[in-house]
Amino acid sequence: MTDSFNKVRSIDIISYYTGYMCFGIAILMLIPIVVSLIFAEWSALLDFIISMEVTVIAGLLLIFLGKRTHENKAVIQWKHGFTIAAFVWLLMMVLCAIPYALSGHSKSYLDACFDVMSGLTTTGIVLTQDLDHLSIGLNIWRHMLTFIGGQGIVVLALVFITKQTSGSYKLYVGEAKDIELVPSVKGTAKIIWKISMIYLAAGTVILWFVGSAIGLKPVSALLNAFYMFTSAWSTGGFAPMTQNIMYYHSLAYETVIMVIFILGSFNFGLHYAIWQGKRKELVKNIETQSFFITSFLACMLVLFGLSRTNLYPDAVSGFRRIVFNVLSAHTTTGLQNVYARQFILEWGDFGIFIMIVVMLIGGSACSTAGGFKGLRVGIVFKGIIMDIKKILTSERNVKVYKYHHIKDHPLDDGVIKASSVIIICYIVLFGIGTLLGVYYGYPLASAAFESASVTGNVGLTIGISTPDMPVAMKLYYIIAMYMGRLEFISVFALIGYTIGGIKRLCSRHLA
Amino acid sequence: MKQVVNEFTGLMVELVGTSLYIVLLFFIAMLLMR
Repeated sequence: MTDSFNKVRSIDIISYYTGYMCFGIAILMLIPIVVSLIFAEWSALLDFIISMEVTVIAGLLLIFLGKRTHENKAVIQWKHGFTIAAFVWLLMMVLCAIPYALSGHSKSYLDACFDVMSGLTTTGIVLTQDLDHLSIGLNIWRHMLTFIGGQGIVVLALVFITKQTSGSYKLYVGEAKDIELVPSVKGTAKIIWKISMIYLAAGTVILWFVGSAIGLKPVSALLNAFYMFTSAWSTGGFAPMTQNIMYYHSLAYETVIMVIFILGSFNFGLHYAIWQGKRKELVKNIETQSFFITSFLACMLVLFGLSRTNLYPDAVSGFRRIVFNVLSAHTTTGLQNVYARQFILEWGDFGIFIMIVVMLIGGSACSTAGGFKGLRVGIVFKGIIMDIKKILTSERNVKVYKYHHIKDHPLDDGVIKASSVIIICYIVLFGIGTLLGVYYGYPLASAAFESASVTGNVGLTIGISTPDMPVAMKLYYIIAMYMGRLEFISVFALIGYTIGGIKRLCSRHLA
Repeated sequence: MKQVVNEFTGLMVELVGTSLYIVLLFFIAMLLMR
């Protein structure tokens, strides 16, 4: 084993597994290829064939470069797991953007990369131009990326692509999914996909039915049902039309979508526990408690705040505009049924402030959602209460504090510290984004709103994210979406690995 | 079979629970937006 470690460098291991994941993405491109064939979209078909070829070549090259991994049966260590997860997401962004760029709907390759990162991280901000005339193949691709990104690229690879099981847990954790539903990580990944596929079938059928009832043609209703389900379940925010969810103009459609995105923002561990018969988890779990309390308070505050303005004259329009958008922000979905400028012109600073807070809080850990996560908010909140209780009770009274997440866990300082560190990282990322927006001349409220939206992987926009925004902001928003989705640690590992590599390279040349 | 029933019931619990929450928010919106 020691010999094999000496022979196999970390870069070989990273290269080898990343190559395999490229193959996975190439296989996925077969789906839009088949769809383009069915709908006779020859231009889109050609785009995807070219993209697939490039992806396969990249995969082969990476596997070839890392072939020593296979020859020596090298084992993945934690540092590899984190670095591979972070690197795969960046490489996927570049490769998956090829069909976007070839379609001619992106102003530049950077815009195409922005949209792919937005899709993979389930953010949902769009820079693609003339969205209403996108090919069906490319629309399927966009929504597939959102769906896959929500479950996790590595999770997908563990289920369908790799036979490798040793070290897979390290890859899985690297993608910010750290819950073990069953002892085997491959089994856990399969359960995540099983839950999503069952909901995909049920949700698409319901939306197909509602879509047909509101006047969409059967094939169009089915395609729209697929698009909107994947977007809502993955808490993504993409829609096939520029008008987003407003295109459907239906209370029923919006209500079904709301149910789907709330369920999508729940922890896969929670779904599994409920499906295993632990029904009380829905109300006992710290994450659902945190979500229901914060989302309820946010809805109440915005409803109360806007009811004074008479902006929405009746309960139905108030419910549709306010509750939908607040829940969409809180679950980090980003589907919006008001125009971007309406937030700033009609909702005012009070509404925007509440939206920023809920966007940053986000959904549940190990779900498709972004943000700090309800689990961390709940832990920190309980930690504060624990400290207050400790101060107020006798020093001789030694009590073990707990929180409930699937099972009871001890609430110790280590857990509170870990949660606080991630929350601080999110706030720093959000702060820098806001500062950048203000630097480029956007109003503070707008810059903060958009920054919270990208940091929390939400996708609501106040009008800043357009193809004409400064390149530096596009780059920063890509980084914010990426870091927000991977929850920092993997990205820090990749940065550390890259800096270490550069240092070694420099010292070798200087010696 | 028992597993399938459990999973189906779990799915229904989640769908009904979430729908009830949305209905609750709708009623509160009705009260506040009168």
